[in-house]
Amino acid sequence: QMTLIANEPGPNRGVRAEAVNYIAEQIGERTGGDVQVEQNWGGALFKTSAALQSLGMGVADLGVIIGAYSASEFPELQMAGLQLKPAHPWVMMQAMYELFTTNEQIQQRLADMNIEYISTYALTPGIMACSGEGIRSLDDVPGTKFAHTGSSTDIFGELGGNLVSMPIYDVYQGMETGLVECSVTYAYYAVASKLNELTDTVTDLHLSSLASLATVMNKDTYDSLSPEDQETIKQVGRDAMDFYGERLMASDIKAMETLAADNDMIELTDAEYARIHELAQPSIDKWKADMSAVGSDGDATMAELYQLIDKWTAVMESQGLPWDHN
Amino acid sequence: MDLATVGYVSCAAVIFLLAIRVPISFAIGGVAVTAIFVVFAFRTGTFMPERAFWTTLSLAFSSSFDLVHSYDLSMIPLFIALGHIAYKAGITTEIYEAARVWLARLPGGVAIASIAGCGGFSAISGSSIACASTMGRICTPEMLRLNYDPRLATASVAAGGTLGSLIPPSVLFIIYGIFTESSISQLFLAGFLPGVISMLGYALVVVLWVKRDPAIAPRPAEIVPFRQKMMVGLRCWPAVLLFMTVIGGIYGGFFTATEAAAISLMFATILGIFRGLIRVRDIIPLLRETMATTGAIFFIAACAKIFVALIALTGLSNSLVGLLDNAAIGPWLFIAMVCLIYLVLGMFLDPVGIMVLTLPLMIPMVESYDMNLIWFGVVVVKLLEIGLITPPVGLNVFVLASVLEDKVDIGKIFSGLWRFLGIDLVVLGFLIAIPALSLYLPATMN
Amino acid sequence: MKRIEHVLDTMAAVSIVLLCILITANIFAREVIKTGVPDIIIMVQELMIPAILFPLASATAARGHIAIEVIANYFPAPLKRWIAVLAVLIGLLIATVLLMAGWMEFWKTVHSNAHYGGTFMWPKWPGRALFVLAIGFCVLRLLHVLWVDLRAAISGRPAPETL
Ligand code: NA
Ligand code: NA
Repeated sequence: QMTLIANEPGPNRGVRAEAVNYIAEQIGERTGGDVQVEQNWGGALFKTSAALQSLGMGVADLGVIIGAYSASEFPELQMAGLQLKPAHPWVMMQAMYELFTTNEQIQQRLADMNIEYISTYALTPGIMACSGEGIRSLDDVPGTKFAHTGSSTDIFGELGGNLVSMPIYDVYQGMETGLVECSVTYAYYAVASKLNELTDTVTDLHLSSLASLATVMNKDTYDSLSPEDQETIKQVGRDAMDFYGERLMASDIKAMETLAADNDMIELTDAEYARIHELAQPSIDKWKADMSAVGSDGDATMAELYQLIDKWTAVMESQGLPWDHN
Repeated sequence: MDLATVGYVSCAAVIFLLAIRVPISFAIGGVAVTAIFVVFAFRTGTFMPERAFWTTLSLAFSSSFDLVHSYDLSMIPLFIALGHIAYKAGITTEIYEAARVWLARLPGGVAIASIAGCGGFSAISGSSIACASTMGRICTPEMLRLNYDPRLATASVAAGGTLGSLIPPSVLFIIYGIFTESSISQLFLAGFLPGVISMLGYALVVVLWVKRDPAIAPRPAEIVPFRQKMMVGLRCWPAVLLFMTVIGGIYGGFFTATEAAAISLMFATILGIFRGLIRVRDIIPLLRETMATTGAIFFIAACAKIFVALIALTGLSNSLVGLLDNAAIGPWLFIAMVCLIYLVLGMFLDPVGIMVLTLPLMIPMVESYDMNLIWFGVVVVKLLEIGLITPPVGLNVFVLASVLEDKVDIGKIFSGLWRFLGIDLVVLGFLIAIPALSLYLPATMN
Repeated sequence: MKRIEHVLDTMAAVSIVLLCILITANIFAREVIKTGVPDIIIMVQELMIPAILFPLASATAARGHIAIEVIANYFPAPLKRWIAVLAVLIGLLIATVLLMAGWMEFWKTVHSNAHYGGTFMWPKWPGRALFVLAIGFCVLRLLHVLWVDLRAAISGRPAPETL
């Protein structure tokens, strides 16, 4: 009989929260109450910025870490936060999961950080939501005010956009007052945060779907469990990806419909997409430097991930998504 | 001993230590780290001190470091500095002179002007602590100078400071909106009228209090001719200009409410220099005085943050909210219990901490009663604001006590506050009974 | 000690000036040259550490940590003096925990490549170093207060108001 302390940095709303809840409930159910999860929300124990080290130390036993907040400490995770070759979110999750559970070097790094990898989360590709004229071509970028809430907006600074630094929850009010015109966001989040009430256009950016979020467990706690309970938790983690993927895609489709209903949906030209992709390259170079700093080979690891992306894309194409044939 | 018991014992220990005059930050922080160590050391059933030691360190560090290492909270030291600089630049004394002459016939006129000032400040800042600390630095010394009773001079501002989160912009409504996926602009609109009603309520308290006991707010003896009144009024232009600049800047889309603090400070400093009231070489010594108080305030807040982590670990808030889930009760009893729980938690914890601890469990119940989430948000924020001025841990009161140079005893502030708490409960009753007070504006604006 | 605290307080004041200038410059930059100050959020966060925590030592020396006096006012003087000793001990407990925790974090970040994202990729260790410095001097001051208050409690003479 054991109770795991779990910490989620976000609120208990949205698809990720559903998956976090799923993991907590399934662990309790499938271990027959042997292992219970006491879930905390909103970073009651620690914020995202302290998640990696807090979980390693055992402040909580189970929790979500986000690659961008520990890009230099755990670049292997942040790899899936880069603009890689576009892939389906479910494929990204499967590829990351397989890489993190089979690659020996990453296994060693996880052990060094005293964490056990349980599950992974992908996001749908970022979109550009704007009030007013919006971004109809990259020529519209110079002078436009972008909410700068993370590195995905950097490329628009390179293109001459006016980056307005702010925490993500200030974006709504910023757009309402005219402080910002555009924000790189996710369809689901734009609708959940009611940002779509303020926007007029949505530009598809052909960005990759990021998968740099993971649920991990403190290794000491994990090791103290019986082999059966360990395997149960691992299986819950694998199932959580399908559970989450199904809900993510459903909510994304619904959110895109909501956005399309009262927004101009804009596609850029192929040349412009190539330019966006090109502008993302410097961030990949920075990441490679972070990888060598922790003694990992960026090129080799990325090549392995790309292989796995191809593998799982083939699986998806031949067998369909798991929730489609249930 | 079960975990919730550790939580209750910790609260009792905090009360005891505060009562015997252990400094607030030491009491909260000391109890929190000790209890966290105990929880971690015994959580597997066997005593594991070594792991618990490192875990406690990690939790203490991340709680306190993340609190200080904050972009949003940068507005608090900047606003506290603004209170200091605006005073030296002569911006605030002029308003008080005007309030004194113009409101001479109103009982406690200057205290009412201070409360109105808090309401105005609330429109440019999203934080009650920033509101209490800035207005405390500005209003209370002026009221003391005019021989107002210290209880009135402090309690009116401590209570007025709670308007900061009801009147938009508001950090608490933003967090509530994130947790309930409700529209933040609807919440902002919903908070406006309740904020104004609270403000009127506080003004009423002052009038009644001064009527009963005129000695606490001496009225100016001299009769001021209208011409001179006009002159005094016109001399307020710097404050009016500052206020209009900031309001215009925020709502005109030039800067955020967080950035407004820096702009105001810059504005007041330059104005002071131009008027020859501040010399450039005086700025650093001036700020040096200010910052001592900011450090003490943040130290309390950091310790309060560690205490929130302790409450999360013990599951105390879950067990409290869980009481509601098990009881099959009607909506009115439910709301009454909700108020009770928030008032109890508000005695010890900070508003943000209470929200992240309770909302995840509370909101599904609220939805099962089919209650309006915008309305419930206003009720919750009002309850959290009340928690800022209830003993033993009343952050607004502590902040006010810290920013005052001539120390006013905290007991004195609390003893002035019960009247304002009384009206808060009345206002709360109205907000609960008449949802339209919250929902009218959001409905008309759609 | 007084002199060090004066330097710390001055650095806190300078940090506030820098915060004010940085944020104002950011606002004007995006209006005038149509681009904000890069990494403004990270720089503000880092400056917050000295601005907030450096004055803790002198606040401790000035007995600036506020307490509730209502009930304690009725206590006899000797009891009050021993409670003051207990209070400092509790203060030392929390401050020492923070000092050790800060040192642990500092050690980790200084021996790794840990840095923030953004344009300049600021390293993470300076913020931790400033934290340790601030809390370290606060602990020193608390030890001094403990010494003074303990002597007062034993000798039965009132302790000085400020140090
Ligand atoms: Na406000
Ligand atoms: Na309270």
